[in-house]
Amino acid sequence: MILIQITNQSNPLNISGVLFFGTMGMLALAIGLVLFIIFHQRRVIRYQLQLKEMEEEQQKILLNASIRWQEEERQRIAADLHDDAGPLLATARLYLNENLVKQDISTQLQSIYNAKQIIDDTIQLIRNISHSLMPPTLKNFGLESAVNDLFQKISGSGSMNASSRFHDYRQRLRPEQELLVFRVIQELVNNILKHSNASFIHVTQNYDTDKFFIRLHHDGRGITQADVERLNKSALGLGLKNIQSRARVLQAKIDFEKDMSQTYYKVTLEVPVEEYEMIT
Amino acid sequence: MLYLEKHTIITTVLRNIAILSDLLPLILFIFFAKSKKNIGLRVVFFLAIYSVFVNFFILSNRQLWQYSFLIGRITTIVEFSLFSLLFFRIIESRLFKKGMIAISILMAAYLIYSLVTFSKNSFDSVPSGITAMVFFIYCIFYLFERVKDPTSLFLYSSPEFWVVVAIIIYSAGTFFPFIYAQNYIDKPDFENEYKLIHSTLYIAKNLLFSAAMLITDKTIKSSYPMNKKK
Repeated sequence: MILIQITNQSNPLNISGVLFFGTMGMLALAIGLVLFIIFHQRRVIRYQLQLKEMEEEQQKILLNASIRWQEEERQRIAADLHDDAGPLLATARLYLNENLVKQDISTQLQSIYNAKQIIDDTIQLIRNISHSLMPPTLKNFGLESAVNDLFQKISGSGSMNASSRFHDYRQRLRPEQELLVFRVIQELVNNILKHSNASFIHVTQNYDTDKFFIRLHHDGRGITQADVERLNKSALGLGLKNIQSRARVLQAKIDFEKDMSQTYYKVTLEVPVEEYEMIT
Repeated sequence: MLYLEKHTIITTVLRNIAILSDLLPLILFIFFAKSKKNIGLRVVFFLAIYSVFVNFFILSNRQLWQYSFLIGRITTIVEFSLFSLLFFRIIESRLFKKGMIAISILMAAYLIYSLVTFSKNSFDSVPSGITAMVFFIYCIFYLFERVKDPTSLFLYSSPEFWVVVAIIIYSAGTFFPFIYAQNYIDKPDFENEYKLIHSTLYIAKNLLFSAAMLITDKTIKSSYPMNKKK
């Protein structure tokens, strides 16, 4: 009964002062509290708006990078068709012109043979372009085979040792997911080949309940998450933005870090997968 | 003496304005309230009906003035019940709600006990003071719960917020006058000061309740995944 004690002990002469200052103090406390809440709310709203703006900006950068990448890819295909397939077919046409009927039979056969060779080369060229768009190994045999295929070619050049180990890939991802994961690996390997001066690349795959992991190690000059964030804000790092753009489509998390031993650089791709998303 | 008379006139005017101010939230609820199903507004509406009934129909009769302290005690119980219901509905923490149930049971027992046993001619300082303190704690918890929840944006666009602001200001402001009233209400100086403070805060409370009536509930929840509640 503290309240009763207070009410009984106070000096009547001081009551007016206590009442005035007590009430003012309590009011100041209550109003201060309400104002604090209001201003805090405003700050939170401002912060959330800033976050939203930053996310929109990031999405814009990724979208631009994706569009630029598409344009570059189209230009590359156009260049391949124009510079390689075009001249080959033009040459084949020269061999098969109307004057051929006036030639002797051996010349005719030689011309037809040459034209056939050129057409075969053109077919091979178009097949290569098609394979660069959608690797047949990936389509027919899955990610593990496609990665092994890619790494065999890299190791075959003798400049770098590339290896992969898929620990748990009994169930394949959906085709579109596989293609995106493969493109991410391709882009990462391209960056390592271009910039890192590494002597080896090793890719491991794991699957844990509802997550599919791809880890890529190399011993060259690498980048960490801080470098990625710095590059994201600049116009540089188109490949990196493409990787992130694909990771976003996959709803995956991608992490660039230095290995605990501080010797290797490591990139981890963590793709969330539901059971129904897997195909056997 | 002249000062006291002038002071008494001011307090009488304020007191009459305070009594009339009860009509404001009532009228606004009936004719203008945009979210009539809102728990905060409903509580204010029922409290306004009670206040109008007491001030206009009971205390307008001079013969019933002798029961004003008893009516005051009943008012404390009504206010406590309605505001406890409001806080129980708007506070989300389950643990705090369990605490509220325990507090409500204890308070209900104490308020009924004080109503039955205490002298009918004395101001209910202790129950009023404890009630004010309990409301103050509930208000602080509600406000901090809102601050902690980053998904609730534009808090001041919700009627409940303004009802809670009205309760916290009224409870905080009337705490000292209430606890001293039991012993000093019969002294003219104190009575004047008490009426001045109480009437002013009563008007402020009804104005804030009225503001709540005119607000459309626009509480927007943030769609940020990082802010989603687990």
